[in-house]
Amino acid sequence: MSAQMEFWLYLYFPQLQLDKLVVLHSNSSTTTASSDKDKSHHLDLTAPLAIVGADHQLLQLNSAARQAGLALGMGLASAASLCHQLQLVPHNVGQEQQQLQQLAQLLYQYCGDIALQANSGLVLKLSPMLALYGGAMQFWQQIQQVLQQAGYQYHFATAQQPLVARLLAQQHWDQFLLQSDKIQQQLKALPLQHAQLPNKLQEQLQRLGLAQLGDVLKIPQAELVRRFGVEMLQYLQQLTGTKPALLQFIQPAEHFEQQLELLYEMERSDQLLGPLQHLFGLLQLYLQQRDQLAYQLELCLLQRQEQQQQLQLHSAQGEYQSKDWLKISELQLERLKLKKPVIQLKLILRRAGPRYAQYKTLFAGHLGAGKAQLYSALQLLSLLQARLGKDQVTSPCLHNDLLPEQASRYAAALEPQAAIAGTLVAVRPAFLVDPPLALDTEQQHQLQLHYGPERLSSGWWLQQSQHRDYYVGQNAQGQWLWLFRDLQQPEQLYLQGYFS
Amino acid sequence: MNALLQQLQNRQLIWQASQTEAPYEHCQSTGFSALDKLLGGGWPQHNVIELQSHGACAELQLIQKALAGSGSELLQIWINPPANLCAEYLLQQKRPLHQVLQLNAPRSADALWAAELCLKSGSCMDVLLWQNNLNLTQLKRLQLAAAQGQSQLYFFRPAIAEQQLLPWALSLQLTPATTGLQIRILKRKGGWQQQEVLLPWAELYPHFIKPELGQERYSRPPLSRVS
Repeated sequence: MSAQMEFWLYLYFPQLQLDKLVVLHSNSSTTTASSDKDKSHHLDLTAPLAIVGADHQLLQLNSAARQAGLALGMGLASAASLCHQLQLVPHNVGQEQQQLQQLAQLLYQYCGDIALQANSGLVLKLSPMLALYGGAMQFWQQIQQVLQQAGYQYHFATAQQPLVARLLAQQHWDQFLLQSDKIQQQLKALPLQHAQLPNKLQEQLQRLGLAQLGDVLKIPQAELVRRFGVEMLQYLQQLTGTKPALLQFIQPAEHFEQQLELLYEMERSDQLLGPLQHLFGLLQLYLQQRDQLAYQLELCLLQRQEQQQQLQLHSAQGEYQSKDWLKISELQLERLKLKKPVIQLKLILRRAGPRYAQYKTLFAGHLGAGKAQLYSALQLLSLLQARLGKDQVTSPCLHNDLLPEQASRYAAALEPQAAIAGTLVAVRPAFLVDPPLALDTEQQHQLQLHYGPERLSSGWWLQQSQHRDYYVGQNAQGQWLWLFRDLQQPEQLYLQGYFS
Repeated sequence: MNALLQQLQNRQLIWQASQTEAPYEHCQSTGFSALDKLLGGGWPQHNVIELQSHGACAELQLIQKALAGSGSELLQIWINPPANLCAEYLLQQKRPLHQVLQLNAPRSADALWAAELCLKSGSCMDVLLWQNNLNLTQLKRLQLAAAQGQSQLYFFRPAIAEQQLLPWALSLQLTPATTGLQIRILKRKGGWQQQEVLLPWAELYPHFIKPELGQERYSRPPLSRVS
């Protein structure tokens, strides 16, 4: 093999949709032990099962269906007469395309040039990668490992031209070879009906008595083109690689948006955690590849009768690991009441940012020494917000105002605030009553005042001037109160706060 | 020692007064010498402390020194405080406001869950929780969480007539009297209970009660100061 030669690997996935069902089923049966009642909704994957196309032909079969004597391409009528308990699932082209896209993203980690092909195929450009991996076999082992984890059946072939690799892979050649003579030999033996020639051409060639592709290749190209025209020329160019193939290589996705069809309707929110884990796994992969952290996710629960509920998941610190997101979503799902059974999940990444190293003090101060952190402050905040609600977790903040009820407010949790110049006054209680409470005359007579007055005059530069005298007093129960008297109505005492 | 006693001792059914160890491993001074003496050193560390009172009687003042000693790198959590927090008060205590979290949890299960999470997180030092009821399992969970996260829970509860027997590390009842705050030990790990001390108000609120002036101010009627 010379270094300049281009090599392509074609991966053909014959039954994406069926394999996906199997993968999902094995996931859900390990995570949630479903009751017998639930099972009636399930497809039984050990019994004969077929994926049916729009033209009522069987496209994908499981092994039980094959044993029952069914074959691919069979019509529905003959299939039903052979095996009457056959379970049918309509073919979903969009879903398969999405799976293929996912697979391509998965493989992008290991191979730079990947193109999606019609008819459930991926074509990978090998030649630039071989130098990186130090050999073809190492590279192939890596790819095989990924494919095995994904759990799909696949067939493959290598060749110097993408078209040749495709023809051989779809014939289930399953050889990872970089010797062009063996590949050519295999190609020449390919029967013409599998050569993916345009129908008319194929018919014409067969009428000439040509049975294999090798017979066609023996004839000089110029002769063939003169007789069969431009279509033949294009085909031959692709086959021999004289003209480079037009391929659109995938780019890593810019957005993360994944959907997951549930196997059966889920009525309890805790059942959703199994499928969610799968989605968060995809998210983790996405984030790891980009070295990012997710701060905000949106989870749509699509329900029966086209209803949907949405959840916003937040993490103040930013997480990428699926287990952390699972913990946050678990807390939110606990609070959620499902209006209708859920049939589909959709996870969208709303906000992400680059991942920084998280610094931790090695030698903390006097008290923090040796303190093992289970959660950082921001992680803790996210968990608290997930369970209690975002507006129930706040930090106090100080506003530049003289009136105590205006000065003390609440702000978003754990956000550093601008410092306010000025000295702090001496006497302030821990708790404030907002709005101030007017005391009745009996309560006023039981009071004992200990300290005061402290006069606050505020708002005179606006139309709403306030002049108050503040006192510290004790009521009949011995509680320490912070009271004020408005100078406009000096008989009335107001309760402003509690010393504690 | 006769055989029966020996046998009982071997089965660890006998408790000897000489075996009592220091009640708490670590103590943090309260800042009030009388109270320190009563508690045998100060507040027990990394534990749950109950303070029973009907509020507004210097209960935060008692723990103020301990809170200040926690440093400002770690969070301070207030769960369900009885009223809004005063930002100026917190700044007086040298506490950065963005290191303070207030949680409102209407359901008591949520409040306890939050307290436990904060305690064991390792990123909080002090958790202040206002709650009415607590049972044995809940207390044990909180104590374990406090020990795990090396943090401290102050549990504020209205004074109740009926006493439950819970294994608090320390439980105090605070009753305001005319001259000061009556502090009674309801439960103390490894110590005698039913001891009392009276802290004068002037010691608790030094910034607005001058000891020498205290007496005359009491006699003054509330409305006489404003004409």
